[in-house]
Amino acid sequence: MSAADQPPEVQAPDPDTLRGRFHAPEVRNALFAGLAALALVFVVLFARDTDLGGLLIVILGAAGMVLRWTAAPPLVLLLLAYFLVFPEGIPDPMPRPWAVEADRFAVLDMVLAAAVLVYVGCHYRVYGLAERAFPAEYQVPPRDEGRPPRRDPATVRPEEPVRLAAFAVAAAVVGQLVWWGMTTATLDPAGDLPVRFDVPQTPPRPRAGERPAEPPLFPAPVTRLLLLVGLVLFAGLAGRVVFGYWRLRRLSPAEAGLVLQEAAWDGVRRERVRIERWRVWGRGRRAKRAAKANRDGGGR
Amino acid sequence: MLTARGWWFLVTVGVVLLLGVAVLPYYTVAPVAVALPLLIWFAAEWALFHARANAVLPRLRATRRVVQAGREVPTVWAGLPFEVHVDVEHDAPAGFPQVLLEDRLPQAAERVAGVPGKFADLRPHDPARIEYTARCPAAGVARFEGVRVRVSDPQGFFYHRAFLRDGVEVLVLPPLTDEEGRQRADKRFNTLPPPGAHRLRRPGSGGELLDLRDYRPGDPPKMIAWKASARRDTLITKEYESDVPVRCVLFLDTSDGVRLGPPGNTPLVRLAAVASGLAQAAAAGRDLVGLTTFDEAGVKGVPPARTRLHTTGLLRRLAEASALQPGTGDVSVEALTARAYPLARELYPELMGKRANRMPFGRHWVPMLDRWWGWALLGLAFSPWFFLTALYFRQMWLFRPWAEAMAAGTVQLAKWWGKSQVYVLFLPVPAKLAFFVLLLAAPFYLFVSVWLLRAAIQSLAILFGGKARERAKRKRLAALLALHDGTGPAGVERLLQDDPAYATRVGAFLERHQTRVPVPLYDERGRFRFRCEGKAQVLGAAMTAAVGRARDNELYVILADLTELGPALDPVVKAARRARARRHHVLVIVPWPADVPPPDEEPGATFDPARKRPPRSLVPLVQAALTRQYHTQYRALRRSLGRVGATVIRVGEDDPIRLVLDRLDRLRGMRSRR
Repeated sequence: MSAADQPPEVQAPDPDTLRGRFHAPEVRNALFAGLAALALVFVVLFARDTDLGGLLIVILGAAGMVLRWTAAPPLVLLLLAYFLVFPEGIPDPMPRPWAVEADRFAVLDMVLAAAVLVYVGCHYRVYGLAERAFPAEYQVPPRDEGRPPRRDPATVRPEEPVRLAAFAVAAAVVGQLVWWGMTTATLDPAGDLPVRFDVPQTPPRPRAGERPAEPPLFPAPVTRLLLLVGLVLFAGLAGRVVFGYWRLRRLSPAEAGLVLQEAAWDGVRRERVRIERWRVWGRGRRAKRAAKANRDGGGR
Repeated sequence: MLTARGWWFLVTVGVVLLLGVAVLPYYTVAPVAVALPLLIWFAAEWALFHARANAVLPRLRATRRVVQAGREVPTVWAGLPFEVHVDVEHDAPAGFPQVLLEDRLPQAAERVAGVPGKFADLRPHDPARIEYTARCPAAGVARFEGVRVRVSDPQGFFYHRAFLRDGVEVLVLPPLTDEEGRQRADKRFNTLPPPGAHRLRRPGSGGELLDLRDYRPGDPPKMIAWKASARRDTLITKEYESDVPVRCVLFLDTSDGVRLGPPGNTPLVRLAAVASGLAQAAAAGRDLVGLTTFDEAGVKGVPPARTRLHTTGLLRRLAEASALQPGTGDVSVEALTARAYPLARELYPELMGKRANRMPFGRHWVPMLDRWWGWALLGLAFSPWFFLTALYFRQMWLFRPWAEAMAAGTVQLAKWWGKSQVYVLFLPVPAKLAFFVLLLAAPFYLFVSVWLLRAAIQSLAILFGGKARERAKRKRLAALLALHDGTGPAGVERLLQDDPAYATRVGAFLERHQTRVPVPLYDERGRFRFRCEGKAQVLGAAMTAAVGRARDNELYVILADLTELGPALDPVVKAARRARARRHHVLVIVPWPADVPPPDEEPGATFDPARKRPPRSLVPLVQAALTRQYHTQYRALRRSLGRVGATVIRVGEDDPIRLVLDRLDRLRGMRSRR
């Protein structure tokens, strides 16, 4: 076969161009998964009569992914929250006090949550693959990197998109469970357990001669807020303790030595300050005397 | 570490969640349904990232191989490319999907091909390999610090940087001279002496005819020149030259003055390259070569020999000498910290982090109590309590100054109000007391106000000022260096309080990691700080010692920057005179600055006072004046050394070694034909 018959070699585009950034299949997969998630978000919002908001969110999210805006996901989240509260876009909300109980485990909400999670995950993955994988560091000497390091598409594991989607569904379900727990719990600081579940929302009518049940100590929004803060704090503290202890177990000899040195320095530094200042002062005085002696000797 | 995008995401989700939990359920629960899974996802990623980081990072290991000419080598040759292979692996049960490995290229090397970094999915027992080709343009030491490891989660919410310290030092030997280093083979005499022998114009057993003389009884008959004897009718004897070995001793200047300049292009590197060429050329001719390095502090010598192992040892010594850096003795502490702190942050991230190496807040204000005025202010602040205590325990003698002050205050108050002192005395007691307390405490409050103002300013400066940052950086560096030295908390405090000790230690740290610091070239009186006059004394003594050990035919090659020494050059001149008196030869090779034209060129602009218009810029004039001064000093050097028989040549930045060898060869020829 002559050289003319051979198929022309496919040349990879410049990685700094838009085409080059999305040339790798892994990047395109993440991009299309994110766009699909955005489409699902639009569908859910359309079903909730929020067509304009859905369109805006899709436009913002898609533009953010293609043009690699790192601020797009927070903006999309805020925009989404706004249109969820004000479906028409006009700040004139319709009170729905029954929503707390009526919208538990709503399928549309769970689909929306999973889609948003997939979109956010895909957006940041695309950003890492096509723009910048690591934050810039200003406290180390600059290196001639040319361009910020991007994640190598070859390191994307095949199961990664599937895992993200599965996790999104699981997180949506777990989120609903947590929300169910927060809306059915009552705080009782004086009780054996400070939190009680399955408390009826409307207390039973007291019988004759019976004292009426006491109203809950905290109103429902405050209870939910306290539960959320407590949950986050407790989980954060537990994680901190576990990983902190793990990290202590994994200290290198140098790190452990530094920790001990710091502890010892804390104990003796006031005394060492005095000693070192005295030593420096003595050396300065000796130098002054030597200079004076030299001067006097030179004069003679 | 939570990255900026992680923070923004967390804050946004937190705001939506808080609103969704507390306010919005009255209208809709969808924001909570969206935000809660995002928070759960974020927490799961956080836990996963930390689990992976704790499991994998402490178990990372790096293995390095330096390959040149197809085999692993402990040293490399300057100017020739070499390959670097780094394998990074771990034996943790989990993997890390997003890891960037970057090998830190030595300061003395430049990348030729390949990339010294790799994005890897680190799985257990599956090494990630970095391969690239580098080259060291000049001799010295190439220090491979290690591999920088940057890990992140796929979203980039969390980030951690570690450093696999390697600390491998590879000697970069001076370039092999190859063609240009070989001895000349063009025939200039009837016979070429065998390798290792040189012709000496003294009677001996060589092959070249030296002279004819009258026959003396005892001369061997084969030495009789029969034709000349027949012509003169008397017996004439032929005398031949001697064939002797040449012992070449190289004196290499390693003082601070020749260490200045950009890395890899200092005068010391050029001199070492010339010395290497000379040593290899001499070794190729089977001459004996020795090396003596000297600076202001002393000398280190290698006696002459001619084995291959000896030549390799010389090249190693030259490589080590090329890597020397100028001292940082007069560099300010701030400048040293500015260089050392980022380096330490890069190489020792886990030891420089705030978690292990912290700066306690009390450190900023407690030292105030080490000053006398700090205690005075403290006493002043508590002085009312002393009076009250004295009053309570009826120690009236302590109270007397206050009572006297009150009486004086009464008189003054009566004057101000225009009332009698009795009226003042009959004022309500609380009012009087308050007035007198205020009157008495006025200076105190003034002091306290000033002190508080000063403390407030100091606090702001401590919290936001540059000094506080500087102090914190210094403390972290001090803790790291004390840990390296094993000096403990005493070492930390010494480095914090003692500026010279800190400067010395940080300078050594920077030199060890081959990081150069801009050094001030001139002292406060405008004098060049790197003349290094003491080296002339050391060099003179070393030459004198070498002459004392010398044999017949020695060649002393001095590679040193002696131009600016002036009158301090006398010990060298005396030593050269002594060497020449013993019929040895002295060659001085001076490094010529790159930005100074040769001495036979006109330096440029001159200042003409007759000109009416002043020059636009003084820079060319100053440059020309300095060039002229340098030329004058160089001519003086040539004159003073030439007067005693030494030859001075200069070697510029672009002069090939061959040129120096040609000059040296001509010198040898002159010597043998003299």
